[in-house]
Amino acid sequence: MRFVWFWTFWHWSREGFRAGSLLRGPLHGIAGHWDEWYRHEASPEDRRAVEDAGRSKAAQRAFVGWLARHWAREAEWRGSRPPARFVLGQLAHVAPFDRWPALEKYRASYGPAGVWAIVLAEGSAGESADVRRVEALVVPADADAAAPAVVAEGFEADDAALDAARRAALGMLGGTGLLAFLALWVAGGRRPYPRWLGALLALGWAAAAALAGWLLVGPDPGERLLPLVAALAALWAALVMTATGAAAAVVGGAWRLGARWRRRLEADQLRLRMSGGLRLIGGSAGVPFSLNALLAVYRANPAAASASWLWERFFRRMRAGAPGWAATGSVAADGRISPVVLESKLRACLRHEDISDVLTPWQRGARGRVIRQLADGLKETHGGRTAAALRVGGARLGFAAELPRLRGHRCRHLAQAMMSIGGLTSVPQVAVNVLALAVSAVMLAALPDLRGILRPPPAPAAVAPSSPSPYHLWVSLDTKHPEDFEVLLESRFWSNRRATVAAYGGDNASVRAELRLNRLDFQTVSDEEDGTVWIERRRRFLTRAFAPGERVGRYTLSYLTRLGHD
Amino acid sequence: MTSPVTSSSTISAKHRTLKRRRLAALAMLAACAGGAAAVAGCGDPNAVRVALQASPAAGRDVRRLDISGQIVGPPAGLHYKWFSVSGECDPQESTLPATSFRFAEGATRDRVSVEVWRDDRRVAQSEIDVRLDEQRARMMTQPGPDVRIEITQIPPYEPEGGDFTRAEIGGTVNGDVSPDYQVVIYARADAWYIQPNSHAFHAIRQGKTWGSWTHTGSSYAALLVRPGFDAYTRLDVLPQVGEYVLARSVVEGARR
Amino acid sequence: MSRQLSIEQLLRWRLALAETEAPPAPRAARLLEAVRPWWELWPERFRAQAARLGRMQTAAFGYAMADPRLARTGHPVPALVVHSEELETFVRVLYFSVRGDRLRLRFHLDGVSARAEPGYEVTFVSDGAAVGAADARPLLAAAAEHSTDGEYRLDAALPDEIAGRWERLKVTDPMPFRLILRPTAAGAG
Repeated sequence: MRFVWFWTFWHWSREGFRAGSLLRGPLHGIAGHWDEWYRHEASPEDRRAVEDAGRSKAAQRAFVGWLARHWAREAEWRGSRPPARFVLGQLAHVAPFDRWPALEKYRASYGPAGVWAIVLAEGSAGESADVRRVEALVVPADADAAAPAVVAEGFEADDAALDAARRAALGMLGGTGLLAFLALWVAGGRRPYPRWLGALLALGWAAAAALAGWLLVGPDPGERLLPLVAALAALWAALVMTATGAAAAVVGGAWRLGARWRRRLEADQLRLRMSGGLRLIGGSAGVPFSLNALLAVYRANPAAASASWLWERFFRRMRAGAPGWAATGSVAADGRISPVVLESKLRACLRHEDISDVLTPWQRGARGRVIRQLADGLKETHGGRTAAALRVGGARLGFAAELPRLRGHRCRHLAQAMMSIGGLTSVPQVAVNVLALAVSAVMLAALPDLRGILRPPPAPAAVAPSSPSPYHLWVSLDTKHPEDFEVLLESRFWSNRRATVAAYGGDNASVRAELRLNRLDFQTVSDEEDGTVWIERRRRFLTRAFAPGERVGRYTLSYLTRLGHD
Repeated sequence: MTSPVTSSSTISAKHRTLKRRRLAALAMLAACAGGAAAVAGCGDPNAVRVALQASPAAGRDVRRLDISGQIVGPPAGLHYKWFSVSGECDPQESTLPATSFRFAEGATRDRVSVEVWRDDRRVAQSEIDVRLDEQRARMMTQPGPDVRIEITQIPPYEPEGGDFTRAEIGGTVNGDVSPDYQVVIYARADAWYIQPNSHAFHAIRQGKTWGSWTHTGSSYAALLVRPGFDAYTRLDVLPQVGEYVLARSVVEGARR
Repeated sequence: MSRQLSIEQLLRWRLALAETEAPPAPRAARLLEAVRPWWELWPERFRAQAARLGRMQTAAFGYAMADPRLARTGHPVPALVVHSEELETFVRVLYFSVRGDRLRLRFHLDGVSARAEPGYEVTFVSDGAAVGAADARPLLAAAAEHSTDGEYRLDAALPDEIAGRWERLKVTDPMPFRLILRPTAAGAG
């Protein structure tokens, strides 16, 4: 077993904690514990082995590799594996590791940085050095109850500001912040469909809109009304089920995973590192701190993101794009972003070669026009930036380059920042959603009409009361859908009539059609009871009335006149 | 050399493809479900019910009745077969829901039934018990009582009439008046309309008077009738005295 | 006229010159005074500082972690840091081990100014808060060296009577001492 001495130290640390001689847990106190063990507890053999491990850079690298790949996976403390970067970062500052070249990069860095923060030095008007690298790491909670939830390394900040950033990150993992993020995604975010399916769905919505429009204003389809309406209803239902099913799956997965990550962030300690030794005044670095906190949670277990398409996509984009993104803004615990002083910060980003995008609060000074003006101003002042110099035959050639374009992303809420940095906003999806909402609104308004066509109510029977007035004929029907029927009178003695059916209240409340009887001037029979009353289906689509549907009832005039009076 | 502490693992493209296929399958399933729902949502649109009505046939043959069927459901394509126990239906098969029934000799009751067919499938049936109106038969042979009716309170002459008009009407009856006789009032507009409501019968008051209100018309008629009189709501021609009608009076509206 | 001198003569001349320039040897009393503990040299100062130590109320730590069941607390130890002025603060004992007559201690200074001294002379004062400042007495003094990130380590010999009492102490127990910290010029190596 290689590097047994490190295991010996680790076990001493764990036992010391259990026995009550060490206050801090083996993980958080690893630097101090190592210092103590190495000076006083290590055996001569252990010391020699440690010296051997540090004898050459290759040996040192071997130790680092072993610690990251083997020890970190086998060691365990309170159910969690120790994060290798954190352990190396702590050890890199204590003897003998503080003299090892192989640990040089761990002394100042936890590894890949996240979103840059823009923190102006005192008196600075906005220099590239004001754009500062931020690293974040989550570490299993320390056993020391006095340990803070957020540790600032390399800078000082108000506890309240750090806490707000942490709470905002927690909210984005589970709470109103996540709800806002999911709502933004539902409203206009990229979908997880393959491209062909997305195009098919868009076509489907367009087809549904066209079909609905045809039904509203096109020629009467006649006998084809039923298949057309069935096709429209089926298409709309399929589109709605697909859209809502996919959205529900994505939202559900994101919510569940977010809840797990939130529990982790609540229990763990967040360590933020930003070089410069600054004392931050105000909370204007809240946005990058919150975003990097999220990134740290993800990096602690990236494989978990596979449980949610949305989180996986967001973090994949963020991890890849973070080196080119800067952010500024004060963030509240609920995720809302407050304005900050901006001009110098934008200038700093414009001067920084690596920054292509900047997240800012929603304020006037962050508009694209303002950024372009600042960029033009810098170009005039500096005549462009010299990107490279080349020595050719003793002469030094400089290449003047355009200042890179800086894209500003204004945000009122951390959720908007996440949509921007995750590349989740999709203009085509917004258009499809608008179309889908319009079509769905029409379909929902027309649902009673569609039901009347697709699943017509049963044919009603004529019931009492009949009309108390001799001048009218009442055709009362036992139906709950008066709007779906019409009544016709065909007679050779009386004028033919067509009347709609409606619900009437009062003493003779009923669902009925009321027909005014007028004797024909040229009747062809003398039978005053000559007349057939037909019950007909009415077919409509919103404001459009189609040709009458089939007849579903036939009554004699004499029967209806006497109904209820036999 | 890659950093030894890089611990994030990449999501396999295969896993992403599998997710997308699941979503596509969901979409197809949704389409099928939508179609099935649309189809399954349609109930039986051709269900038919029938109710029979019997009424005296025009003319003086009390043994003949008009049987008509009231159809609930789509009547298109239906044809009807008529049956009776002892009498006769004419026609026995028809494309309209109506037939004429005649009682057998000596029979006073019968049962008329109808089968409703669409193509070669029976879709509905119904029956009605009919009874010979023996009272009417007697009334046709026996002389009626000696009674008279007069309209003494004549409403105005307003030929258009209509159900927004109103006037008082009244009169007297004389002769061998039975307490169960009643008065039926009609007003004429384009036809005779029973007044003031459908199926309204007016009792005879003490002092052998009667009265009510009526919609106006060009003429007014009062009929003194026996119990059991089937008062038509609307008439082209007033019934003559005989059978159920014991007396009648017709006056023109009072001109101002 | 030239004078040729031998190396030996040169060395003897140089030695004589050095002896002439050398300061006078300290007196024995002075030497004895140098090894006496400071509280014996400046008892009034010690009493004042001990009294001030004794008046310090022990603060309670706030809990920042989500699950207090997993947490353990130490007991803050009042400390007086004597720079150009006296600073009241607290230390957290991170490691406490008594083996035989050796005390090994690690502590972390809380709330002190940003400068991290390379080392302190640490005077252990009996915890007189309960019994009154008059009974506060010095227990021992030892050098603490800065280790890492605000932590200091200390390795000292303990008198037997103290070692016997402190042997069973755990880091989570209330500490029976308070501390006076005086910065040293450089960390005691």
